[in-house]
Amino acid sequence: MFAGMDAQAAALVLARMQFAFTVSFHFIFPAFSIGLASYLAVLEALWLKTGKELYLDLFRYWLKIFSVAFAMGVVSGLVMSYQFGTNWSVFSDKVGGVIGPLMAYEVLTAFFLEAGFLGVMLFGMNRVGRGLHFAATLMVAVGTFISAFWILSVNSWMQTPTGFEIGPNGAFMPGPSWAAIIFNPSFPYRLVHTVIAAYLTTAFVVGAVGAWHLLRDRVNLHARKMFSMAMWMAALVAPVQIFVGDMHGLNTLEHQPAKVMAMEGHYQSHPDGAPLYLFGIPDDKDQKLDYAIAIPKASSLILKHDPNAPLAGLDTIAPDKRPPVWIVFWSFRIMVGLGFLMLGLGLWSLLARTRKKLYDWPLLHRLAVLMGPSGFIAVIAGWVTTEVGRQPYTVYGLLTTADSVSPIAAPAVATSLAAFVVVYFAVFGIGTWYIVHLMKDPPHPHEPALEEEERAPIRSAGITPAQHMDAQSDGAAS
Amino acid sequence: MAIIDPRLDGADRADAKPLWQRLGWMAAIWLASVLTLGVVAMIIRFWLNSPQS
Repeated sequence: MFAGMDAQAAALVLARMQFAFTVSFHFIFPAFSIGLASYLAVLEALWLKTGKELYLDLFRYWLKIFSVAFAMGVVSGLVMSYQFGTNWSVFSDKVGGVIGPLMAYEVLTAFFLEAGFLGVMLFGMNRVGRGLHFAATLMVAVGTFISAFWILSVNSWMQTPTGFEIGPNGAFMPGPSWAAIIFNPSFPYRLVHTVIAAYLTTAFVVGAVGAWHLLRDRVNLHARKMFSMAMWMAALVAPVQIFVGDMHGLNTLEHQPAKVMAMEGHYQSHPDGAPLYLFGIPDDKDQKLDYAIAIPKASSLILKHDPNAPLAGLDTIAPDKRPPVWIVFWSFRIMVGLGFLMLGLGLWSLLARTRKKLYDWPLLHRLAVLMGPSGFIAVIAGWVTTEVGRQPYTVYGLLTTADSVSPIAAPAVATSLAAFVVVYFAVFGIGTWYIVHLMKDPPHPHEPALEEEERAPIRSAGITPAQHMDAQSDGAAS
Repeated sequence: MAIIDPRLDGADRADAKPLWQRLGWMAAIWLASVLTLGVVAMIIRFWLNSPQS
């Protein structure tokens, strides 16, 4: 793929590949921990309100998984700030005045809300009591949301930059109003769409774990509860997400029309209503869609709410300003397809609920297990759509990606990329394996807290307590 | 000072303690968590700023 490229072009492609690889890996963990932090807050609130130990058991079960996912999210995120300095120093130099403070707020939130109160969540129940512990859980949940707020504000500003001035050295400087930078035009849509995606991602993981254990023991009350809660989320939130996604798409059409053209596969303009291409093989070289399967005028209907409304195509954009269609076209379809599959599972669960078969329909449970990773795939596909669709710019319409990269040598980037691939698969592979290992163990009554596990008596090798003694201690615990 | 029922365990025992004590524990654990993360961040910062990197 590097044949015929000069050294700088090869370095640019490698730097982009490196960032795409690290951000995709990183995004998995916050997408999970944003939703899981809120789920933990809901579980603890239900425990405090109802006094039912089942909610506490589920809280403790998912808290262990949350702590591992959170740690991996922090570690995988560190690498990207390193890349801003090494591979994207020109970008950092030019836009640092605008996005630097926003990213600093994100780090402060992560430090003082998320990481700080996570310690209380993990080790504080027997020290601070129920009320303050719940306050700490809420702080972590709010912290994950505020972190997402700042990061998505930065990303949205790169998509729809507003509120800046250009300094004498060509650098972007903050204008008179920070609100204009933070609340740029695409930010509200991207924030809502991404945070809901994180909630759905978590719901489908929780649902898959519940379904997995229901397939083994359909009377497991803990598995039933988590599966039921997850399916409520799928049924109620998936349609909301489709609606929000549509709003986000309309906003993108207004501010980044070339991205929507690529998403829709519209190489040519359609003056009398544009078709909705369900399938096709984009051919960027000849600027056409091969083997297209289309619904006539449906794209105009969706995007303009008028089947005959004209829609401009990529033929109205200068060739060097067009995003690569193949990736955007397919990543968008993967995201949308998974969104509708999520809606389908949610509706099926409603049907099962009305027929009193929610816990007694193995096919539904098998599909829920299969759909467990769907949220992760959907958020990465959505991220690829929005980022590749922004090309050839880093700051849309103002700063090209080619002008953002550091003066680096391709072999150096290739070496660090190879190192990242090896280290990421090793470190995060082990972390993910450990999370899956935790999930394979069913939640059960009297789920031990982390602090209690640490204080548990150490058994001497070869000596196993008699059955009746275990039974006695179980009785004491309850 | 209130006498805490020795039969209480875990969260029940913590809830029986005065608020100032529980708030103190909360502040201490929070501070320890932030300091731990701060130490890790400083190590990474020194490593990245070291002449050979």
